[in-house]
Amino acid sequence: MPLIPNIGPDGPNQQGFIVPNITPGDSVRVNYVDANTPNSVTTPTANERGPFGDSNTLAIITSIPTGEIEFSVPTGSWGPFDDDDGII
Amino acid sequence: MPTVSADNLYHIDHSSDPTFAPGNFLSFKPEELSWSDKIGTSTQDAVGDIAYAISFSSIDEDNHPIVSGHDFIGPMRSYFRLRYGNIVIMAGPIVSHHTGLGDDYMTVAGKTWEYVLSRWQYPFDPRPDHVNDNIYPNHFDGNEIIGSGQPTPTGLAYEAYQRDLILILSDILSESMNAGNRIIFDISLLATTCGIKTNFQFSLGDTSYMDSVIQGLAGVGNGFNWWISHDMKFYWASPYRFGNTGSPTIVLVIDGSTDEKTPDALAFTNNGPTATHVLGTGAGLAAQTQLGRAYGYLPAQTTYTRLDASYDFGDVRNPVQLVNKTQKQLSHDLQPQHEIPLTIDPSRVSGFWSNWRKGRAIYIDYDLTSHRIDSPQQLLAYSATMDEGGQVQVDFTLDQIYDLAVNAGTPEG
Repeated sequence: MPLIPNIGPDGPNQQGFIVPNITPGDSVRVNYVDANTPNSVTTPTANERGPFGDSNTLAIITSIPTGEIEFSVPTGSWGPFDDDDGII
Repeated sequence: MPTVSADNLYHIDHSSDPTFAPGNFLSFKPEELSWSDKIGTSTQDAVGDIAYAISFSSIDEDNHPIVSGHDFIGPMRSYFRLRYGNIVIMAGPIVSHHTGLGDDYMTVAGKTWEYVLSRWQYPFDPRPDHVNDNIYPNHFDGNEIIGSGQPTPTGLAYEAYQRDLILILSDILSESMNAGNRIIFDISLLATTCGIKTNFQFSLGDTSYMDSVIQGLAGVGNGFNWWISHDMKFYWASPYRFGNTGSPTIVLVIDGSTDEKTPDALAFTNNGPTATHVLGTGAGLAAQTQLGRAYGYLPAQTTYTRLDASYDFGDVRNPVQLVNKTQKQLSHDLQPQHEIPLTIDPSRVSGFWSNWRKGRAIYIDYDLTSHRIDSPQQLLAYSATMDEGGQVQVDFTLDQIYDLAVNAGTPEG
């Protein structure tokens, strides 16, 4: 499974990386570079960064325009996973 | 003891226990119920309001009188919880109750947990030998767990350099909760970072309330949304609860294709762009000075002409932060400002109250002849009222989600 490098944690503008050998419909596991230790790649712990951070969560490649990729994320948002649905 | 089940009915719970532990609350069907709620942003707090009436003759779900005696509830010592079956819509302190001579009922008002933050200040003991009791001894560098930098300068309670917004929030909030006898919120989610860093100082004896401190932090860089759940857990999401603007998580597409995707009322007003040129001002770096930056966007000025707006961003002393705030404001103001009131009957939408949480996003795809709404919208705020038949209507305030660049425009005078 290919990794997308440099996703987060520095905000949402993290789309647009050239990743070889992926096509639309592929699943990718998203890792990120720790801002405190540049050039490292860290696998986030579960729920550390929501759908991106949960190392079991996949981003789905939707299209690959020239020079950059686009992907969609199944659920949630940046930050801790939004599990506040009020159900008791 | 009341039974909580998915009965698709609206209930109010009362308790003197903020956690509503089983056996510690009573439940009843409210009358004259109305409520509203909103997501926390840099410009609005996250406080929801509720109001309801209780007839003196009403009984609760255990067949006991609800009004069981004088002062059976009291503001800030009793708590309410509004639920739809087993889904809690909101909870928090009761803030007032009212009755009058000759009335056979009382009215009760409550606010959500976030309201408590507007009653909290950072602790400060002004006695000379206690003045430093509530300071963080050392300056924080980056995201370190314990401040290891120089001693905190005299006159400050807290100082951080290039530290994550969420960690700053965690530091300030946890020290405020240390004051004793506070309601304890679960801030474990503040151990995670959002990736937005800033320099931050908090003065000793600062009388700002916690809600305004949070709103200030929520406006730095791409910012964050925040709210407190019914079970007193502090949540945040950056930049928005629905995710990022480029790929928002959509709760439901409203396009009229099925009954649940058809609103009861929908309208569209276009007020045009707010401005095509924005002047942002901050605080002074020296006496008689003020930080300022102005940005404009030529393509928009060509279409809409140059229209000016100015914003006072308050205590911003960092030029980079000021530029960031000004450009973010410009990128928002350039967009045509749409007002899209939406009314929904929640009983027609499956899982409405568990899915349509404040701050999440929906997509509206509707042709209104003179305009087609075809865009994602954040559920910024809503208000709901229950009629005498128990039917609820919800009116939403929506904020159109634009995929904005925070580096919009060019400097200009």
